[in-house]
Amino acid sequence: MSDKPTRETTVLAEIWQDVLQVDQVDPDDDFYALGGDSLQAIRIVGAAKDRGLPLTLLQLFRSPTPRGAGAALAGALADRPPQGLGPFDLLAAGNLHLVPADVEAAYPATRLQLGMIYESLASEGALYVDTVSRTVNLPLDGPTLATALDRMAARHPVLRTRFDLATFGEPVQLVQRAVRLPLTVNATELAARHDQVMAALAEPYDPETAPLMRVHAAITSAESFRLSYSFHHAVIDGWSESIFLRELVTTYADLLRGGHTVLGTPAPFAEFVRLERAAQADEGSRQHFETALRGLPTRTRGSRGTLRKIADAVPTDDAAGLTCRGAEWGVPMKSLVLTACHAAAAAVWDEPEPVVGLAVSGRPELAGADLTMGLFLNHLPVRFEASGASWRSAALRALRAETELLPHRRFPYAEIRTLFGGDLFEVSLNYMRFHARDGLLDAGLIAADEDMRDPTDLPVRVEVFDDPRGSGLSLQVTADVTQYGEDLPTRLVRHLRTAIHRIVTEPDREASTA
Amino acid sequence: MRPLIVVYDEGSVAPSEIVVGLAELSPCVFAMGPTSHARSMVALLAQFGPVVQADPISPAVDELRAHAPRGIVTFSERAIPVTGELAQQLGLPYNSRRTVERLTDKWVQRSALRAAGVDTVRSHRIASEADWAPAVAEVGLPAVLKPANGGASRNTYLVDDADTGCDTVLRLLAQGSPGYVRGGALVLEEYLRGRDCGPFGDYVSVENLTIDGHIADIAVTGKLPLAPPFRETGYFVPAPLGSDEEAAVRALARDAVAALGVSSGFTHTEIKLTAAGPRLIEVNGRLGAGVHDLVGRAHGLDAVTLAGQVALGERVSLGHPPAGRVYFQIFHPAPRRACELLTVEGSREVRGLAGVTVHRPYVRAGTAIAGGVQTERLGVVMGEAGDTEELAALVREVNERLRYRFAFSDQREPRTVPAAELGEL
Repeated sequence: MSDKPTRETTVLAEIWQDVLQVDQVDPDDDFYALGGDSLQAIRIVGAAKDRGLPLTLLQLFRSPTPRGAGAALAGALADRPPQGLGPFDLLAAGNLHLVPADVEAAYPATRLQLGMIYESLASEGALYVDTVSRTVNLPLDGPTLATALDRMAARHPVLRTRFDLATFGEPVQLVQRAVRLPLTVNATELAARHDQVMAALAEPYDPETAPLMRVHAAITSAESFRLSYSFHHAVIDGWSESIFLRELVTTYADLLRGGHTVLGTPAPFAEFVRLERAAQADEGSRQHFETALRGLPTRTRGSRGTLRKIADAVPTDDAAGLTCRGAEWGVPMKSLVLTACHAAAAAVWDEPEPVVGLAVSGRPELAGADLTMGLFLNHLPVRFEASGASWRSAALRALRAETELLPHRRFPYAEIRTLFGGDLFEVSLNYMRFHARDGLLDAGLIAADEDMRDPTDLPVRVEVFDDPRGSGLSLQVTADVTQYGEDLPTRLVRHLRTAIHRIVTEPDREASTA
Repeated sequence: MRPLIVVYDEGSVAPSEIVVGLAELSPCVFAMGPTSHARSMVALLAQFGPVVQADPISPAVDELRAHAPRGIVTFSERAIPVTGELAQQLGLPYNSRRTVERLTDKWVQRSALRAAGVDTVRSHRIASEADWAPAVAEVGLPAVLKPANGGASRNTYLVDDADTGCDTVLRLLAQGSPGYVRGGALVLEEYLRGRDCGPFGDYVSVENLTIDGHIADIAVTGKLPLAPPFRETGYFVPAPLGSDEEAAVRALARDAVAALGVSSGFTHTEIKLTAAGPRLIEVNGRLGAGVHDLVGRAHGLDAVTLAGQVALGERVSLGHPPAGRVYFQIFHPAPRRACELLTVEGSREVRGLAGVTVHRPYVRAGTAIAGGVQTERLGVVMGEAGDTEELAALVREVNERLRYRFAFSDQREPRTVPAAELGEL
C-alpha cells in the first residue's frame, strides 16, 4: 500500500479532512474509522463533484478509503469514451484550412461563452470583464512574476485563447501557441492609486485578440504586494480564477525560493465544448426543462439600469448552525443556501413558488478536470414547492430539485431562453466554496481580503461565499435598482439572513421569512 | 423495472450496506419507520429512490401501491410488524401475520416452539405485577427477564432473587415501552447455563435463509463472551464447534424456523451451548447484526443482495463456504454508568497488529454516554485470524492495547481502563 497516491486520492483525502474535521487523512484511512457516517458521505460526494470528481455514494460506500474511492473513480473514468480529442476535431469539416499558422487548437465557442461575449460587446465592455485584487504576502520581483505568468499561460490554453466570430461560419475559439500575459509592475510606490489600477484593468477586451487577461502588481511593503488582474469572463469562471490564483502564487513562491512546482496536468477544455454540444442536442434534457418549467411566465430583458451591491456577513453562530443542520439532515450547504434564497425570493416577490436561477458547474468528469481553467458555469432555473413545508422538508426538496437537475446541468441556459422565448428567473444564486484558496490562506501566502468586481447582466444576483478559513459565510446581493427599487438589495439581504437564522433555530417551523 | 420496497428503521444493516447490496438488483422504494434515526436517514436514502412514511399504514399502502412494487424486505427488527402488514395489504410475499407475531413476541414464540416440541425452555409472560409470583413459580430462579418485543439486549436482566426481580419488573413496566412496543409486556425465561467454552462465548447464532419454505444454512457464528448482564462483545465465523455439536445446532435452528412457519427470508437464531446440548435462546425474523460483514468477508456473499433476491422471488446462488480462516468483529461495550468518553488510546497500535484490518470508533472523544444495559458500542475492531486459537490470542492483544479514558459523573477522578475491563464498568 505504499504506492504514491494519485491526484484523485489526494483531493479526496483533502475533502475528507474538511468534511470529517480531522487533522490528517492518509490514503488508506477508513471513512468509518475516522467517524464518518452516511450523511457526511453525501457531503463528501457533493464536495468531490464541485472539484470535478464524479464520485458516487456507491463508490464511496464500496471503497471507503481515499485510495479505494480514488481507484474506483479512476476505473469509472477509464470506462468513459477516450479523451483523445484531436486539436481540431470539433471544427466543421472543411474548415481546417482556415486555421492560422500560429494556432495549435481550434474548436467552436460554447453557448455559455457566446452569451457573455454578446452581452459584453453590447454593453461596450462594461459587462463580463472581471477585475480582482488581493494582497500577496511575498516580496515583489517583476521578472520572476513574469516567469510565473509565462508558465501559467503555457499550461492553460484559455490564457492563450481568442475568439473568431466571423471567419469559420460559426464562432470558434483559437488557441495560440505563444502568448504572454501583459504584466505591469509598479515597483516604486505603494498602491495608492488602487481604483485607477482597477479601472485600467477593466478596460474592454476585444474578444478576437489574445490574451483575454491582463495583470498588474504593485508593491505595498518590502514583504508584500498587491496582485490585481482582469479577464474576460467568457474564458474564466470563478472556480477557474481560484485555480489561477493558487497555481500562480505557489509557482511564484517556489521560483523565489529557487524551487520547482510540480502541478498536475489539466484535462483539455475542448472536452467541455464537446459535452455542451452533446447536452444541447439531448432530447431528454430539452423535454426535462419543457416539462419542469411549463407554464412559467417569461420576462424580456429591458435596458439595464443602475446596479447596486450590498454585502453582509452571516453571524458566526448562524454559519456554524447551518453547517450542523447540513450534517444532521444530510443536506449539502449549497442546498441549504438554495432553500434560504428560495424563501427570501418568495417573500420579496410575494410568489409562493419562485424560480431561482441556480449556478451549476458543467466541469467534465475527467481526470485532471479539477485543474482545467475555462468557463463551465451555467445558470439553470430551479423550481420547487415549499409553501407550508418546514425548513427541514424545504431543504430536502431543494436537494431533490438539485439532484434532478444534475443530469441536465450542461444544457445551456441560452437554449432554455430560446425554448421559452425569454428569461425565466429574476434571482440568480451562486454558492461559492473555493477550496483552492484555502491552501494559500493556510500557508499565509495571501491575505483574506479581496476586491472582486464582476459586472453581469443578471438583474438580481445573490452570491454566497463559504470561506471557513477566511471571512466565514458572507452574502452579496447585486440588483438593478432602477428596475426593482432602491431598497431591494437591502430587503433581499434581510430575508436571506432571516431564512438562514430560522433554518438554524426553528428547523421544524414553516419555511417562511415573514 | 418494478421496485423492491425496503422498510427502513434502526437495524442490523447500515443504509450504506443496503444501497450497495441492492444497487445492481432492483430499483428501491424506501418505507421509513417512525424513529428519529429513520428520519435522519431520509436525505441519504432519497438519493437512491423514492421515500415514503411507513406509518400510518393506509396512506403508506396507497403510496406504495402506486409504485407497483415487486417485493418487500426489511433489515430492522423494529420494522418487522409493519413490513408484515404492508406485505399483506399489498399482496406481496412475506411471512404471514401469525408468523410475524411469533417472530416478534418472545412469549408467543416460546409457546409455538413448545407446542411444536422443538424446545421446552420454561417461560412466563408478565404484563403486570400480579404476574410476577406465578412467573417465578413456573420458571424458577435464576431466570432471564426481557421485553416481549425487543432487541439489542435492551432492558435484559439476569434475575437471581425474587425481590430484586420484582423491583425490576415494576420499573420496566412503569417505562411504558420496555421493548419496541408501547405497553408491551415482559417475559421471564429459564436461565440456560452455558458449558465451558474457554475464551469464547457460550452461545452461537445461525443465519438461515428460507426460500419458498426451503430452509438453507448461511452461517453459524461464534461469539466472544458476554459482558454482564447480556451485552455482546464480538462475533466470528466459523463458530468453534465440533461436528456433532454443529450438526445439532444447525438442526435445532432449522426446526425452530420451520415451527414458526417462516416462509421466506433471513432468520437469525441464537442458541445457547449447554452441557446437555444446544438450547434455543430466540429466533429473530431478519439478518443478524454483523452478519452482513462476516458473511461477506468469509463467504464472499452479500447477504443484502440475497435477501433482496429472495424477496423478489429471484433465484439465488449460495456457493460453498470456504474452509480455513476465521473472520471476526470485536466490540467494545459502553459503560453502564453515565459518563463522558475522554480519549481512546492505542488505535494505531491495534491497527498495526497482524490480522487486524480496521478499528472503527463509533463514539468520538468528548461524547457523553447515557449508560444502560443495552448493547451500545464504543467501537469495533475487524480482521481475520488463521484459526480460533490465533483469534483468542489476538482478542487478548487488542483488548489490552486499546485503552479508554472516562469521566464518570459519580466519580471525581477520570479513569483509564483497557478494553478488556470495559465489561465490568
